[in-house]
Amino acid sequence: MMQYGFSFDISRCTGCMACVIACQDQNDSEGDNPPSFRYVIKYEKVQGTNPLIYFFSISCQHCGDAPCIMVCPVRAIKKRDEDGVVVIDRDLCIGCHSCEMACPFGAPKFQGDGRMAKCDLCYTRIEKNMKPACVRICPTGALGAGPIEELSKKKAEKASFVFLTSLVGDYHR
Amino acid sequence: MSKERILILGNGGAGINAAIAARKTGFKGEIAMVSERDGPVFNPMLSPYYLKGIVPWERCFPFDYRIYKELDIRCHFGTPVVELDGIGQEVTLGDGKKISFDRCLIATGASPVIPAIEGLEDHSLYKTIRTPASVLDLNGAIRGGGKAVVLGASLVGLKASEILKKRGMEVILVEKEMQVLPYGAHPLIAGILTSFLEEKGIEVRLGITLKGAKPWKGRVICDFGEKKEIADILLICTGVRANIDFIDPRQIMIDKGAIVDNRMATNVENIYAAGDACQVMDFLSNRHRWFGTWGFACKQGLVAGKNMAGEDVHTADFVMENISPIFDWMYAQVGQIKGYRNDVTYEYLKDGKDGHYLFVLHEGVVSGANLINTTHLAGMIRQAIYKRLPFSYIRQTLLIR
Repeated sequence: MMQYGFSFDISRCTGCMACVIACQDQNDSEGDNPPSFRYVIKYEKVQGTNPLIYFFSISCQHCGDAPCIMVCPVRAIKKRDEDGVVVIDRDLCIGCHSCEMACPFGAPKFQGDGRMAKCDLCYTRIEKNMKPACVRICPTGALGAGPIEELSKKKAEKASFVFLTSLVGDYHR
Repeated sequence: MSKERILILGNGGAGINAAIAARKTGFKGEIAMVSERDGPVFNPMLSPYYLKGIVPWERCFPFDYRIYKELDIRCHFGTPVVELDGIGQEVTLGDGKKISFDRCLIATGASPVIPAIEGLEDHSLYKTIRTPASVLDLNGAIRGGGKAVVLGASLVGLKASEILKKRGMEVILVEKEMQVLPYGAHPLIAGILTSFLEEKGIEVRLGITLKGAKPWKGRVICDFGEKKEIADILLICTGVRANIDFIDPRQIMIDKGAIVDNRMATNVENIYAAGDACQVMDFLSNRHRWFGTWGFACKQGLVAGKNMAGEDVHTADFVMENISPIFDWMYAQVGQIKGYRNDVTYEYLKDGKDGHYLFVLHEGVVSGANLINTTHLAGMIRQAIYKRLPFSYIRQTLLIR
């Protein structure tokens, strides 16, 4: 099965939030403070005397073995055969939030109707040979998307939540 | 036996996922399944959603009968297993039939615990919420305007109270401990939830024990000592226990469930256990504990199925987790809140009007959290527990946005 995914280059992300806005726009998020399928977190540390700030742009990683799928009691979450994108059938969702607990990336977002919605990697855009909205807008090229095997190994690793592990290293040095 | 036989005891989330995994792994032998209940896999987690009218009855059965044919499962439904000879590799069913096996999975689930209270030996006096029959029985008994006593302020007890209240009943929630969610919530969080339940019109009585129950004109007199309540429904939500009475403890190590390693294997070769019938390793305490959720049961069944089919796969250790809506609030427990160790500290944070975080820290590292209306962080906090990340990291990256 083809597996699409995001790549993320932490050294390029400036925390400009353009990806978040593009995602909200693409998905017609409404309201004063709509949940975005993509968000950016900031991490600061001091190396020697130099303060360093990192930004992480995070959304659903469309995991190969997505933990949200198995915990969904109504089997509303599925992986598309054609591209490995993890999608939800919102008509089936009962709002139990089990996926929210299972996902280490905070990807499931609950809308005003109590049902989950999430990043679908803009597969309708990809099917038309366009980039996902967040990737297209990213001014520094930090975000990328495509078949996993085409993404560079380095970028693919960075795309995953492996960064959490790398942070642990900082604390235990 | 001409072909290898995997025998699955139990027809729930763990059992069916074991069968699915075994077939996906390429197991060509026979898969047999034994279940006391005759019917497709039932997900008890969906019962509250059915009773609230969110899901129709048929959707409480996430797999239909076709799956047994698709997976070529030989079903022995409608009779319980009464004896498991793990060393002789044979089970005896309630109808006297014996089934031999090459590998066996214990996935018999759990049943409600009924406290040893005078009067409760009469099963018609109380309701439970676990099996399809018990859920339908409760559903049929709910009458708007009546009174319900819910015994046990477990998460199921809280959800049941919500259902009964929403369906027009006067609800009294009784807990023998001095807080709701006595095993999963910090007292501060429990107090917030108690106030919330009371705002919703549920009468919460803490530190109260049911002394006895007896029938009266089709209703139940609940005796709490100084006070008596005449209830239309007495609903018991005081926990569950693993269905493992057929296990010979001289063969298979059991505690509250069958003790398994990270391959879901028991101490007896070729005997596995998964779901509510087993105890797995707790990541935090490094002890075997019982983790009773649908998701865990499915995961454990999958790992057991792969291993029974000849693979060698391991689960990670488990971290306690519970998440559920309660009225229009969301509550979650991640990791260990109580009884983990004595040298922990607590960090409480409020988020807006109704958002609450309560973190349990050991040497600055997060080992547990209670979340109210802040459950969007539940999965990430769970990951932080696994990664033993310090609270300062969570505060900086997740809480300050």
